[in-house]
Amino acid sequence: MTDTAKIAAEEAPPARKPRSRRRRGDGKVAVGMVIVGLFVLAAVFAPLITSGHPADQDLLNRLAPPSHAHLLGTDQLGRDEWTRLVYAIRVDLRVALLGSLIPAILGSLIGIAAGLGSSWLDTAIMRTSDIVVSLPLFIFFIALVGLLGPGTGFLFLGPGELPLIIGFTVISWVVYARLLRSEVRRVRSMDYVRAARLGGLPRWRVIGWHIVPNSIGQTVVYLFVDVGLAVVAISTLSFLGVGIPIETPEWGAMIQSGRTVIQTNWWLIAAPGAAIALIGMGLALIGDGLDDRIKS
Amino acid sequence: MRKSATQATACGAALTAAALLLSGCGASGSASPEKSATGPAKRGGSLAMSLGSAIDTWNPQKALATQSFRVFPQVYASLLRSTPDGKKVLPALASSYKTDPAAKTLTFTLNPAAKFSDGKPVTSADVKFSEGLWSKGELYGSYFSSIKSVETPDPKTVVFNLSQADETLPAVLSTANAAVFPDNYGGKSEAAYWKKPVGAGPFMVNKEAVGQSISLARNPHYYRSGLPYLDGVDYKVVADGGQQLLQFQSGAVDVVNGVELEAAAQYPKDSIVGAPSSGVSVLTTNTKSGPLKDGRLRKAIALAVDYKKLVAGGYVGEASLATSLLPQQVPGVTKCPTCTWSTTDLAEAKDLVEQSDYSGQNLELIVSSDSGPGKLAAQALVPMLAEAGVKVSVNPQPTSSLIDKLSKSDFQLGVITYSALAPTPIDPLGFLAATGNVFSQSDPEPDNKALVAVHAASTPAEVKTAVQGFEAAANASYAVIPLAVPNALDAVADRVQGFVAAPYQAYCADELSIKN
Repeated sequence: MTDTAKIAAEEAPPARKPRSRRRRGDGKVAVGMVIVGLFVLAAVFAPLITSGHPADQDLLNRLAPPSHAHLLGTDQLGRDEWTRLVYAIRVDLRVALLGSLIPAILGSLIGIAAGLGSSWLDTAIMRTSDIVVSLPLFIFFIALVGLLGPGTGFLFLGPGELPLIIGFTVISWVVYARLLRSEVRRVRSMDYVRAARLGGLPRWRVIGWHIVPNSIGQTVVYLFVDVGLAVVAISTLSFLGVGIPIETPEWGAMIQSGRTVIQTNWWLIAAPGAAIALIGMGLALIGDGLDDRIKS
Repeated sequence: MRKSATQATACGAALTAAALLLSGCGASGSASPEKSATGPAKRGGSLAMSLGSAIDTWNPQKALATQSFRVFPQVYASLLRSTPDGKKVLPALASSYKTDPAAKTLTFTLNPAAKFSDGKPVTSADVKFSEGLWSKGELYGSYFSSIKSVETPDPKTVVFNLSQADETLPAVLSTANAAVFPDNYGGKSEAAYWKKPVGAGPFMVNKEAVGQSISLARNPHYYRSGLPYLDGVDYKVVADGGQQLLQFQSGAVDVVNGVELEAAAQYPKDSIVGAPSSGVSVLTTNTKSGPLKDGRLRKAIALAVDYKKLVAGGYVGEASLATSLLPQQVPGVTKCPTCTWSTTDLAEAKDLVEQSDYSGQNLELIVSSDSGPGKLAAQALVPMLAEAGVKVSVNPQPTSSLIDKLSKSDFQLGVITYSALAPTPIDPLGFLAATGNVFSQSDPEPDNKALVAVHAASTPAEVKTAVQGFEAAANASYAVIPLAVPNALDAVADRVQGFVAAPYQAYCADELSIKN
């Protein structure tokens, strides 16, 4: 080593300890993803981890206790509870996801329009949202589903699923619209947005590159929470006998039918109840973790 | 004319009032199972009983709800009363009666001890006034169509002049539909009377919180000496089956009237008292539109059902196989020798589906979502019918919507339970005739023919012949398929003594008491 090189090596700052790549909220997101991921995997591989079809009845083997043959026993019609529990993930998550995603997209577009549009448009949208918010949610759902009927399914949706998704869309867009409107109004007055405008960027580019990406964070966070809320809402409606047809495996309907035998076959209620709680917790953790990330 | 005018409404009554109680008090006979007496009955105390829904009116001629007919026998009394098995009639407000087939009269001698709860004696004028109300009844007036006029030769004698000998009339006169009210409402206005009626039953109305509770107090003038044992009965409306169970377990309720079949196993075993109900669960089909116009498909559906499995699973074992379309508990209804009800033949069912015009489309099966055993049974039917190649989906409806859809023929398949309102085939036949055979819109001619024949029957054999003729015709059309005869279950606390279940779910609480 030459002297010059030696001196340079001595003068070089000490090597920094690598900074942790973990950010606030990562743990919550990870746990949430594991929970939700397990549910998704179970739904995808349902035929492999269950026995038979969820509609298969064994009327002479009703209310059997948990056993090797029936992990969670059988229900009032002798159907395997574990099989129904797993297949119910498909129904609940599908409807909850679409029932949150569609209003999220619709509400976000409306919120952006309200936040960036003229004052009369903003007023019109906000007053409309006030009206929608004042609707009693479950009564509205019952009326809507009653009006539309269960139908026979639509594309990949099963009977009764489309009316629920329509109901969620009609009700839930408001939250997204209000959320995004207020964010857009906040972001559009930021200096960098003003600078972009003054710099001569076209309006669509200012909106698409600067306003929307910086406004959408809370909406994404809420979307995860909303999916969890939708699962609870679907189950509640099914418990009330509204929405998904009675023979379809669905957690709320399973709780409803197990209600009458709660004292002798409590697991018929506990299992779907735990599933609802777990998936709700998983989604809430993801949402919470993402929120932490944004704030940090 | 009165009969035809009233039938349409009577049918609604029979449907919504899933079963009716007999009004006759005095469960002195033996019925099994029962909460038998374990010692001498003690006088005093009161019992709390739950009702699945509120009573809809105090006027038996306008009552639709089953629960109303559970309460009526406590407040009202009739000329006759029924034995607990519903097969015989005994004297009640009338101490005796005699029929004169030649003169076509029915003469009652009133019990000298018969008094209303206000202490006024029951007279022939009261009976004449009451008969006027029965006959004008919009819902049940047709039951009394054979009474031409009423004579009151003295205060304790009543003569019913009949248009024809009517074998079924004494049974009808033992129900709450034939309750005796004070002449001219005892001087009250009609509206005031029905708010707080005065009857000759074992109890009188003390307090009522409409839609929530009814408090009855002992009638000190009850015609059966020494009865009732209880000082009072408190009814409370508990609609939810789970709540009924919890209140029963906590002791807040002594008697649950009408336990949900699915929940029966949750009750302490010795607390359940049951009897075959006067109802039949049926699968009705729309014979006027859609694929079920095809009789072969209807027959295929009937043959595809595994009735034993259905009873075991769909009716949780709390039912028996149906042997007739009319409620088989009703006196006069017997199994028709040529009928094939409750027969399963899957191979023939498949053949019939192949031969029929059915093209595999989904058939909607509607059922009440509110209560009753139909929901589970409907779900149990789906795979059975699928095995024969008939695709069915279940759509539970609130009872009001269900009735609306059925009455507008806006349905394809429906599971309902209809019940006899009186221990005579007249009632279920009238229901079937007025509803076009449980809304199936099939030919009402066999019903009408049987109705006329039963009204005109002077012997049980003639009634049986008429009923079997109807059953054979109904079996040939498969428009309505009887599925099962669900049990009527009540839960009775251990401290209650003297409870006897009646097949019409009606019992009089005059012999109930509290154990020492």
